[in-house]
Amino acid sequence: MHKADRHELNAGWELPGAYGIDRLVLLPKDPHWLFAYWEVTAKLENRFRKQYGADWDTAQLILRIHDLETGRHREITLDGRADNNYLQVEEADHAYYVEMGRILPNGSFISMLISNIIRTPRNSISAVIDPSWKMFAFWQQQRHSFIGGSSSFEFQADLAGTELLILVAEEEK
Amino acid sequence: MSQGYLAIVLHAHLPYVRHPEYSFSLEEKWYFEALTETYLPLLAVFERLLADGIDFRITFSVSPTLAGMWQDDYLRHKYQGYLERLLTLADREVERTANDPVFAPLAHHYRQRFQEAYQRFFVHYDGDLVAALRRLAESGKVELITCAGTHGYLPLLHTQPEAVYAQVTAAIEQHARLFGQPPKGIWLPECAYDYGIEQILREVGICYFFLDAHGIGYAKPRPAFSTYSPLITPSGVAAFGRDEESSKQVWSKTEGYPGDFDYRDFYRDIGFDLPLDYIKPFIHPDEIRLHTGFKYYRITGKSDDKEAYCPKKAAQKLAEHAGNFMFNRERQIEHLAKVMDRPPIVVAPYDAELFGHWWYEGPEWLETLFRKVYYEQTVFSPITPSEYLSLNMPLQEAEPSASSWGDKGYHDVWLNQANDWTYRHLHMAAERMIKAAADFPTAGGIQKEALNQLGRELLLAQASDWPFIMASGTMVRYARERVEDHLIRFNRLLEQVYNANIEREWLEKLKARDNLFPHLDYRSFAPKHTAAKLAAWN
Repeated sequence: MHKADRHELNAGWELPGAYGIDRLVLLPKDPHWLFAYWEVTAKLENRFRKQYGADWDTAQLILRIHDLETGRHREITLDGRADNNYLQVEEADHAYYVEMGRILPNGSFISMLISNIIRTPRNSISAVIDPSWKMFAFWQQQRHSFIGGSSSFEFQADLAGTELLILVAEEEK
Repeated sequence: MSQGYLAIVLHAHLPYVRHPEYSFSLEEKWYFEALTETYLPLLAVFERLLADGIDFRITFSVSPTLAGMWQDDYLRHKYQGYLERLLTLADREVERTANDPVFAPLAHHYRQRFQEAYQRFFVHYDGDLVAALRRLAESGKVELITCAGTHGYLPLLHTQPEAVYAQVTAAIEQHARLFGQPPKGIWLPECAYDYGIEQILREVGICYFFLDAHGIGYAKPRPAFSTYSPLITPSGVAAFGRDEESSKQVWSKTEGYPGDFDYRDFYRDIGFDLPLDYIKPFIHPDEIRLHTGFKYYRITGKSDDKEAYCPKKAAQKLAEHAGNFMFNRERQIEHLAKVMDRPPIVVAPYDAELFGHWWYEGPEWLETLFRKVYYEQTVFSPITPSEYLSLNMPLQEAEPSASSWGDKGYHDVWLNQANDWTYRHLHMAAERMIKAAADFPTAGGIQKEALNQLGRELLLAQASDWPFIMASGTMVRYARERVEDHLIRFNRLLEQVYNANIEREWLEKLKARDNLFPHLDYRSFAPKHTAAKLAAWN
């Protein structure tokens, strides 16, 4: 019944594997991890292939992670078949963007795609003090970190757990 | 004169789980259980407090998906069938346990509860919870706030600020229409904030939002009063921080009140315990055992050996716990008031569904707490965030930290290997929606209907519940199909809009099925923040 109904509304359509649009998108995950996904079309690859010839396909695909605060970047090599990656970064509260490209045999970097900019979340109290605001005694007396992130999650996970067997059974039907 | 304030915030939310295509749906059952066990008992608590002249304050966030389900006739009708079945089971339970001195009173207890739910929903409220809440809000004791349209996880939609804007706009439009005025505050879904979201909140007229403790604690510059005073963000919207201490007392699985051995055990349920032949008509039609709501045991201890639930003992315990919570707030606020130049505010937000559904005694605990706070102490007063802001104290300007109240405190739960695949599709759909809003600025007739429906499908696909469920590892197929279905409908309809060959009959089916936000205007997706957009689209 369920399948028939989905079919009626969705007419056998599926989500496309690719959209035919070159893009590199960066998302923040936590103070030290980012997530990037991308799509590189054949059209874009061909443009570079035309320009750099046979070298292009053997050139190493890399991702440059740029820290806008320090102006430095770090490179990681990519598997040509991947379309996403989790990226570790040094600094909380820094702005980052990533750049995808290839390193030619002569060592030069050819940029293919540039991402949006994100800023990593913070994980410590700020060293910046606004002089017009006197810090109250709390900051002297107590630990300087916050736990955070204790919400309904554990309860919901528990609830979900109780119905797990049921639903596994249901999914197998 | 109070030395400080306590703001209790309840966030009520369920995803849009309306399934007229099934005779039985587990997802609708979540909603019916939440109605019976949480929303109706909470409304009863607020009304009793009001009737008894207790000066209480609750900030109540109603997610637009939940409000949409409250307004839906199909779900009202199906809830009636659900409750009638439950009452049939109640009669059978009373009969079955008639000679059992321990369980007979419990069977009666539940029968009475479920009869009350029926009476309250269909007679007292005439099926209209929105009107009931509107009346409560008029008393000034209950402040209604909103949430993002479909509970979209805003930091991960923020690559298109228009998507965040549309989520918030849909929520505010619905809130104003249903509750009579636009909301002053918003509960960001999952308390999740990313730098810059406050600018969008400002644009749509929101005055305040909430952050988890570290969102405020790690603000820049350092907040002088930690979470005990709101900050003013650079956009002019105030940000309140969650108090860790009061949160832990209720939330924590180990230290929290809900785990007390005298409270009712959630897991033991006659749906699992009684012979299949007996319970069959009241569980899954495929004879898969499910919770029925008849739970006869108390938590008892850590082992599986459970003893019978004793409502009287639980009532004593919840009074004790309410007293303990109040005592701790008194000491906390006394202390804070001494070291601050202003009355502190302690903000205690909870998922509404914790109360009643999970923590059976929760609504009554809340009621007892407000009665005690009113009669038994003078250190602090209950307050709403708007009232606190209207005290007009100068607020420190600072930028909060990106954060959420999910596990580990950031975006991990909504962005991991179980759900990261969704974002490439969600972002592309948002990008296309924004473009469509720009390409058809003055659509009319069927084209406009199709564009509005595109907005609905996109919003429904964006719900934070789907990646959450994927991460939790159960019901994954349902969550995956919800994302896929809405996006597939979106993609196909978008193609029809551009090809000017919209299938009327199919569009009508979509409108009837995915019917949240009947007044949605696709132009809320129009490009607004192009200057702030940093994505480089080649």
